[in-house]
Amino acid sequence: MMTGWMGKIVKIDLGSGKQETIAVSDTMRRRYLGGRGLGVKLYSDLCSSTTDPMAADNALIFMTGPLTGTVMTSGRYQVISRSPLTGTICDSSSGGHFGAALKGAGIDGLIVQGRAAKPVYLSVHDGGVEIRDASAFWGLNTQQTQKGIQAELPSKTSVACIGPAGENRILFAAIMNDKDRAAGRGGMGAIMGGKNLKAIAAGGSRPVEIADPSGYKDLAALIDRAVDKNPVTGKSLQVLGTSVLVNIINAHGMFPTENFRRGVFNDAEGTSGEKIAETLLLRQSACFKCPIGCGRTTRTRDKNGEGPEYETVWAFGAHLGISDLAAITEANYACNELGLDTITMGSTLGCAMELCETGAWKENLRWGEAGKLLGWVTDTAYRRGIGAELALGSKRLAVKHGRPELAMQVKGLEIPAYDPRGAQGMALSYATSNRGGCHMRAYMIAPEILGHPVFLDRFSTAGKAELVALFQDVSAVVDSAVLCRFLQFALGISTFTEMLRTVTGLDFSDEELMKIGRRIYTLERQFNNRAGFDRSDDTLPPRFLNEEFQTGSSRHRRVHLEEMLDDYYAVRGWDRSGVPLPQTLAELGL
Amino acid sequence: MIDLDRETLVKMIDHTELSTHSGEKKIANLCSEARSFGFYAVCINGAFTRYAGELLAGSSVRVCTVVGFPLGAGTGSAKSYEAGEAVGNGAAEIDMVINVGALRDKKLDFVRDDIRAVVEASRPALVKVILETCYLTDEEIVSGCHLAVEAGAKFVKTSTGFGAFGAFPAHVRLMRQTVGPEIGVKAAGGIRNFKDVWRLIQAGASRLGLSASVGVVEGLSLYKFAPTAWLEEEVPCHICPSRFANLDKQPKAVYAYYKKKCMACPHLEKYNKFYE
Amino acid sequence: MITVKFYGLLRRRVKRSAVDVAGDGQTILALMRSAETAAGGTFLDELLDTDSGLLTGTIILINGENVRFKSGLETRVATGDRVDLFSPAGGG
Repeated sequence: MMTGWMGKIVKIDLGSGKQETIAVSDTMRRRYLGGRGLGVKLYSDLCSSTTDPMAADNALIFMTGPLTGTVMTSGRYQVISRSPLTGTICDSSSGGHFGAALKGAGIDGLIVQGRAAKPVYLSVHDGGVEIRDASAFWGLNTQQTQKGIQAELPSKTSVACIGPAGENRILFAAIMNDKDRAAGRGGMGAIMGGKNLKAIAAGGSRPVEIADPSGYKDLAALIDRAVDKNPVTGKSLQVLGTSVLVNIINAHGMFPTENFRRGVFNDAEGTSGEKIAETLLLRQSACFKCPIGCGRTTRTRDKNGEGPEYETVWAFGAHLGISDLAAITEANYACNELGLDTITMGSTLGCAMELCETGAWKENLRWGEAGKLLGWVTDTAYRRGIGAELALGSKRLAVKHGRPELAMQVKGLEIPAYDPRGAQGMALSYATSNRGGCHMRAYMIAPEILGHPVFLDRFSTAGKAELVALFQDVSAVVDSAVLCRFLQFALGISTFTEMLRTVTGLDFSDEELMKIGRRIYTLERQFNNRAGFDRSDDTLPPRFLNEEFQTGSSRHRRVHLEEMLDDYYAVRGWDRSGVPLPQTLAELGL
Repeated sequence: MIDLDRETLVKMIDHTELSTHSGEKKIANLCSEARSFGFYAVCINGAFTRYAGELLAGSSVRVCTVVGFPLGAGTGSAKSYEAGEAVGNGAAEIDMVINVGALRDKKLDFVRDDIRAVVEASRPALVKVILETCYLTDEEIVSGCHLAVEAGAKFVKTSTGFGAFGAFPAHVRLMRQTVGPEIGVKAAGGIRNFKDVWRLIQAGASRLGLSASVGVVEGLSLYKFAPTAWLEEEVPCHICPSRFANLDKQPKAVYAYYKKKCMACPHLEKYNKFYE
Repeated sequence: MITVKFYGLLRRRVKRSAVDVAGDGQTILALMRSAETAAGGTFLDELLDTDSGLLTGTIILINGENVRFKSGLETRVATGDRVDLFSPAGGG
């Protein structure tokens, strides 16, 4: 009897309606685990680095892992495909309950190909998938869609869906589930919209079998205690949420202000986690089986919803010179409803503002215009007016108006809320992330700023390559299990190994886990190489290499990327142009 | 390169809970963690010896009780009684505090007899002698080590964790050089993460006393895979006891001793900016 | 005077976001103790361990520089310095 995994992945063609069960060998399961790893592996077998993300034959994969539905935070799932925004391989992670719901419905994952002739949604239950008419929901926002579908189905379901942004194939459209959880980055929502797939509903009570129930029980108790005792997971995230970082990052002089031109925002306080707690917070919210509860259920004067998170508070705040917290929050609510990635949306607006200021774009977007924020966001989702241009994302927008260097992006994905001049390791992390400018692939902020597990000198480049590679590999494992990254503040690698052992019954070791992580990361890299990405794309916008802040505690610093990059390739076992060497591939069985 | 495996590391740890205000719940948690992780022993105050023993029944985790703790300034007979009672309650190891004042007064026979009394009363349990390095000069540390070994103790230990500062690699190195390979050297006090632990083990510690044991063991797995990054050369002052000398907390003579060492240190030139 | 700023959970303890304290030449530890008195609330247990060492994740900045890269709790402050105190925090 298989434990952990359900042992069933369904591939469905929305055009023909045909379904088949995909066989995954024990070996493949062991080598890629699930979630991101297995998703990337299956994607690269089914499609290729030249598959058009918006074409009907592109596969959109929804994948859970062996730990989904078991330990705390295991409600998450991953969405994998080739990103229409960047052209890289992309996995997008979301919290909530949907992952656990897929397993409760009896499957590990779904592979969706083809395009439906009319809007449809999928209903997953009892190990099977049903295609249902979604015309009643097409055009509705994500909240309405979820409620409507749930009302229509006989038993309790969790719904992952797109809003108008996905329907309109905006390149950074998100997939939203369980009210306001987002698979935000990379435009997975656009792919879904392109397939006329409005939503997926999943539900059921199939239990996840555990190989070693008593070991699992002891381990769960230990994890409970570790997470509770840890001041980040046990206190800070609950009380203040992720926006507690606003004041911290600002105090370190690296809170990107006005398209990364400055590192200190004069009203960081007004958009901080402390301020949210004081003025907007109704209560914390949590995902499936999660005691951390970092989510913020909030209300402004006229509206309520979830958020904002740190990245959003920055993207619509300091990045645009806006300090009106209510306006930022309502823009966040709008992104949730419309199904848009807040980071790309905000970052694109900042790029647009600088393009306008320099005269490159003859439009009138100005810093600090809080009152217009909601309009810009909505117009983007509908490609209306100025939204038609904003919908391009910062890279294409900046290129179009002749100033490509003003887009703060790597490989087409916008960099989030940490200026890399304040942390050299983070700079390397951005440059070498497989899905573009992402802070989560290797969250170097943890050691370089937060002191977790120890403090590193943020301005030094020494040793950073090894750590970036380590964090990238560990994160790949956590994303494949699938669990929440916040656990990493409280738990070490060996606890993840132990979780996998007690649930799957397989004798994983720490070394094997790290190898799995490295394998997944290298496979993603190979995919990107074949899609045409090389060393020249492992770079940062010139602002970070050539310009310096004049004030704040990260002043007079530039990113020293080249030396770290050479180190990084050496650590990874890649050649000097960033291509994995044959012996590296052989070691990993690729 | 970290060639330490998890099994070896856990067997070097005395998982410790010695706070004045800790109650049964804390001790129960301690024992439960020790059982799950397989630590060598739990290190606790006398009143909990029997209770901890009951909780750890059937496991390989030993009970280690502190005696004359934390001041070491009680009588030898009080310490012996305390030790004997603890062993009767199930303690397999006794961590006693040396009579620091007498050591500084150079009353060597007195100090040796004090330790010997506890060693006798503790048989067959093993005795560790806490020197409380934060109140001693190097010569006094060396002297304390000799006396402990002569008196039949099996370990020397750096600190109670309640003094001016805790374990430093420099002191551990000195103690190891003094006692040789056969006697144990336990580092305790102020150990927070794997980086601290690794430095102390490299300096010669064969046992560690800490409360952050779980984090350290988790840390091992993280450090193992990126050793050169995590374990970059530390600025010498950051791990030097002289840097942490504190007039508020140490006898004036000891404070002056450390400060003098600092001024004569060859690193002072290069790392001068850290000296304030 | 030295301005000591409190953030995050520390603000809930002292019910204010900053306090000015005299302390030229003192160690940062001594200064924080004075700050507890001046602010009328305790907060050191959010920053320090039971044996008075810095908790993993505690961030103490003096003029924007982390004391961990200076002399830790023994780092000395001077009049006009700005001190930022953060208890362990995280996010993504």
